[in-house]
Amino acid sequence: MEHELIELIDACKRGEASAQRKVYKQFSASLFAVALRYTRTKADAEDIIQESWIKVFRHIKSFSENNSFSGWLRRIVVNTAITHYRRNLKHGHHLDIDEVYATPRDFEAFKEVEFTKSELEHAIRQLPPGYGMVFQLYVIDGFRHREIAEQLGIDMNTSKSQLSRARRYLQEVLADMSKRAIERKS
Amino acid sequence: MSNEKRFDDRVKRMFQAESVAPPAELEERLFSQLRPSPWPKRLGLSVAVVLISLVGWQGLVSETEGSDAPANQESMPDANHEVVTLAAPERQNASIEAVPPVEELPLGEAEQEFLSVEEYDSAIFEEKHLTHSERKTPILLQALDRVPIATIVEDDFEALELQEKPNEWVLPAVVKLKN
Repeated sequence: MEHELIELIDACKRGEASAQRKVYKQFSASLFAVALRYTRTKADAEDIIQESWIKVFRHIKSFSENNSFSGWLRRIVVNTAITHYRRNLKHGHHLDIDEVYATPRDFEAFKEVEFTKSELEHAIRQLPPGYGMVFQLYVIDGFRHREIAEQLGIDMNTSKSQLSRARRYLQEVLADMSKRAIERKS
Repeated sequence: MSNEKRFDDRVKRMFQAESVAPPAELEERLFSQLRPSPWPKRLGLSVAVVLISLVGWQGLVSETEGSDAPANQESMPDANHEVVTLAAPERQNASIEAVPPVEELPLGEAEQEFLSVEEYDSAIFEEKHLTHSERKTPILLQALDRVPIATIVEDDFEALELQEKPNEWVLPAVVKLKN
């Protein structure tokens, strides 16, 4: 870890407001992107990120300099997003992926499909919330199935099957997008 | 490398350097929340806490005093008091000893009509000389009714009964006559 960052963290541990501002400016964009990924609206992402930063500065004394600071921050945002997701889950009705789309596609054919990040983000947003959570936690944020099951309060096999279905669904959606783009060009 | 793994890596790479600038007002909102509250606000909070504690404590004290209030004692039925006093065995004995014998009980105006022991004896004596029909009159019964129970001795009743029933000879009902 950079010496400058260590000093900033120490200053934050002492409760120095200027150091807190510097840390916020350095990491706010990357963390806000994480929060946006896990939510459907910008307002929800703002709530998550504000709650996360409060947690960061209140618990910064528990951070050990042997670990990755950005990883620690990211983990706090993801955990806060999970809490929000579980809170909203009680009120919303979520479709099973089978009800939306479920036609497995041969991955060999998919390998040739080109897609952008924004197309992928769009496709992830189309996933039923539970599937989207499992996919992002496992593929993008590096959680294991055991952790996902604990965090989301589901069975480990459910986590595995949801990930598998989410992959197929995304490939299908991205292939369709690519196909349409090619048709437009021609 | 499996197809799934390849797809996952491709996705992961896309999100490695993700970055979206948050709205500027979010920073101010956050740091205003993190900023320690100014002293008047703190003082106000402290005063409020002290006031609430005082009111709570006073309420507790008045409640405790209320339970010992004489008004509550007055509202208690007297019977309860008696039960409490009688419950103590020493006091119970004392109250038994204090009760005077029945003969010594003072007579009220209504009880003045009762016969004294001497009067009762003389009444018995007179009764001995009464005829059967006279005996049936309720005068004596009434007098006996009024006599305190303690003064009536069981032996006297037996004697009275003996006096009332003299030996009588009964003749056979059928009488045969000779010509």
